Amino acid sequence: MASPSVNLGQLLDLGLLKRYEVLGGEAGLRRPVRVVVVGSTIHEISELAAGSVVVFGREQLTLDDLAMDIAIRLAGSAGLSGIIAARTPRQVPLVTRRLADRFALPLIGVDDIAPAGVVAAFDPYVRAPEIAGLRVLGDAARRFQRPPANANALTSSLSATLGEPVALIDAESRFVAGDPEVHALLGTCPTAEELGGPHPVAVTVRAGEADVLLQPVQVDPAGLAVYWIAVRLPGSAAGVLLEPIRRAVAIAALSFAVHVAGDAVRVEREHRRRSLLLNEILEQPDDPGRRTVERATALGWRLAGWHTAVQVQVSHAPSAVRLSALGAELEEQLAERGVTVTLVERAEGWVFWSTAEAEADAADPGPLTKRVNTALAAVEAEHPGLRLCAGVGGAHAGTAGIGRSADQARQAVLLARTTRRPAAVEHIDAVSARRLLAGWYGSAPLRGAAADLLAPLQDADPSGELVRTLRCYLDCQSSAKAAGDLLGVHRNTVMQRMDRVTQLLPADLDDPDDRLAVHLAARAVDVQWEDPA
Amino acid sequence: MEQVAESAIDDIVRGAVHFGSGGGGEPHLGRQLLTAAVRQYGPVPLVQAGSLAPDALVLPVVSAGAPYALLEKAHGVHEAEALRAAVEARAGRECAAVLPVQLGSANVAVPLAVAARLGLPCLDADLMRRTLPSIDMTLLRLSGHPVPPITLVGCTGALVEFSSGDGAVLGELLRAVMPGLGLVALASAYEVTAGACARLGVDGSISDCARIGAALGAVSPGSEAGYAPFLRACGGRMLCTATVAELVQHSTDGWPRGVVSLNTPEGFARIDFQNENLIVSRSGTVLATVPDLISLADAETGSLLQTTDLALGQEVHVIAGPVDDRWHTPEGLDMVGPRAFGYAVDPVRFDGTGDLTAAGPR
Repeated sequence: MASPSVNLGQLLDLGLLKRYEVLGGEAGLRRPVRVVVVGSTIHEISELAAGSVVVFGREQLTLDDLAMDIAIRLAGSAGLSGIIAARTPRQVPLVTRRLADRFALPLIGVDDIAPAGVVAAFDPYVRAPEIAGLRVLGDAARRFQRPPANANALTSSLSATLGEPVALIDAESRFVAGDPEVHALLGTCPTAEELGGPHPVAVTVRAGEADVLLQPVQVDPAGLAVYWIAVRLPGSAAGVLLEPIRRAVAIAALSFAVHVAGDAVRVEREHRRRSLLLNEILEQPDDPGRRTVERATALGWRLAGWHTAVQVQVSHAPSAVRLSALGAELEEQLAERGVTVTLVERAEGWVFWSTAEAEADAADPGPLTKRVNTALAAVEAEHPGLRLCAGVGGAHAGTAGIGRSADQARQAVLLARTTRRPAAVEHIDAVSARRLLAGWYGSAPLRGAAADLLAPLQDADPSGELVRTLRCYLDCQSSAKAAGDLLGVHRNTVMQRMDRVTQLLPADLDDPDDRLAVHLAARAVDVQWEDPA
Repeated sequence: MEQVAESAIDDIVRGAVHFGSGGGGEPHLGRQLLTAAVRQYGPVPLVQAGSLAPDALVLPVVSAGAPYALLEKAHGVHEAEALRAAVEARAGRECAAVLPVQLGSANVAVPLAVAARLGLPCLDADLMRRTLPSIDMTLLRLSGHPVPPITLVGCTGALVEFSSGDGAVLGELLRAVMPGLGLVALASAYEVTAGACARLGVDGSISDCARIGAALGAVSPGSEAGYAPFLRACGGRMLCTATVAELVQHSTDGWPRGVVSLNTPEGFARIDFQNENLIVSRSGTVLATVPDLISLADAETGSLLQTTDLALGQEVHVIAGPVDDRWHTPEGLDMVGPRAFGYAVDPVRFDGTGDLTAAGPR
């Protein structure tokens, strides 16, 4: 009967023996174990059934005793699967360890041993290996009955259940929580595409010397994995002992998904509350109701004083980035830079404002602009491909000042979008001429006309190379050399492209009006506009 | 052999190492001790027990204590005289000869040196026919003779006497007083006459040492066959040639104990020792046990080694040799068989045969 069986290696991995040492015969750790018995004398070893593991107490046999050699020989001939015996402070002779190696008979040294206890601990797993799995599963079910409070709670609980190191990584293979060594072990093994791809399923990957089990955490069962749980599998996790580990990890993943989803709902609800409140404030700036003031105060918002509003927008986001979570990240990054604010989600992004007691304190927007810039850069660095930009309004007094500054911030962010720099931040007051442009960029019909103007270039060259060259050439005051340096091409290339542009454009670049219109159009054309309307 | 002259010392001491079974002391010291005595007092006459008057008192002599301590503080003239005086005073008569208690490089040399100093002849005999760790493990006691009185003279001149008591208990007491005596003492035990020695039949010990020592000198190292003269002389056999892979030593209970791991072409072999080599086994099979002799010869020089002096990587021959048959009787094995030393194995003779007497019901 091919009943499932365990081997001594698996039994030891269960952690039932507190401190043990494999002294020899390691090659035999994979032999199936049929029964574990208490040994009394070495001479009865020959009468034991093949596949037995015999446990000797300190009184019966110690490891450095000559009789141990005899026991190993007898056990080797009888086809036993291992000997467990007491260690003494004395060294186990080399000859004994080599003899165990020769018979591939695992020789396990234990500090404190009660043979009957060892037998009782091992016996259930030997008789019915599934029980080992049930223990793990039962433990997992108990621990993950309630969703873990956070990622650290997940990894520590799961690690305690399995007795193996666990790490939580995100869909881009970045370490989130748990044992960093497991993450390091993975290296580049599962690529970001594999982790971020559709239809994620649990996989086992070979990472260096060990197998690592990867289990996706999905908030939406049909969606992408938001996290992956990585577990380094013990050598014994094979056959009947692997399946329970898989299931335990799946339970943990499900439980953690509940936590993530709950978190998302809570954040969403909070944002909604803030957003409604801001609307109320903006709609009735002169006479906010008593209840509104109370709620604003409760959130730590100050309605009096001089307000400087900031609007943050996403210029470009890869599909893997969860936009709903970005607000919280931004808040964290800003707080790290001394800007403690609550972001309010708006249709065009997020708004927040800082408040100063006096106009003089709010007058210089430099430090704030700098902090916002580094905060955006920090968030961008966390998510490759993500582009953020922000606009900073002027300082305005009173409740109505919030709305006024926010309007300016919205204009400023339009400017920021046109610069195409990472983490771009523009202040409305920085250059008054830009306010002119902001008004122009803000007009959809004008932007439509600009697109029409450059349409022939787009048609002729969908890659956008011609438009970029044109924009750069005009930015550089029609210097082919300067534009070439910026674009990283030879000036002759710039000249050739400009010849082509001149032919294609329905405008004359030598005419100052035409040239200005083309320049404006070139600056506005590639930006993804999101009209508040 | 009628006397021990300087020319015979090399052979006697070398041969005595064989009876040390891996212990018994480093031979250089014994050689120096005896050579100095013979040079000062002249050759030591050897006598057979039967040639003395049967009721003549003999003076059993053994050097008690650690051989390495003896190296630092050798027995002096005064100790020999104090020992003789104590024994003669108690017996009320004079000693006629010195009687070595055991064979071993130190314990052949010391009684001969004592005899030289005292101007007495030395009996060509001993009471153990090998080295054993305790003064009560003698063929004389095996024959029913009581161990006490025991007399010890320490190197500081202190004198200790145990006039009665059980042999095993006295053995323990002896070891207990040794540190106080400076770890070196000249000892005597057994009130014994020349006639008792003759009846015991232990003649020829010193001559055997000389004979075996001469054969050892004729060994040509380099091949196992080169040991033929020695093996013929001692009646032993070569068990294997091996490389020393590990030497584990511990002396938690006051005895130098340990295990030597030897790498042989047929697998790892093991020697368990307590002062002397007690058991040699290979791959969990016992090849030979105490009371037979187990020696290690340095493959390079052919000389016999002290087990505690082994070096890792040293190539050695393992040689087992027979011992007096009386040790193989059930009573003898009770006293000095492997179980007496705490090993739960049956005795195996040097030639691999079991002791029939030991295999029966005990």
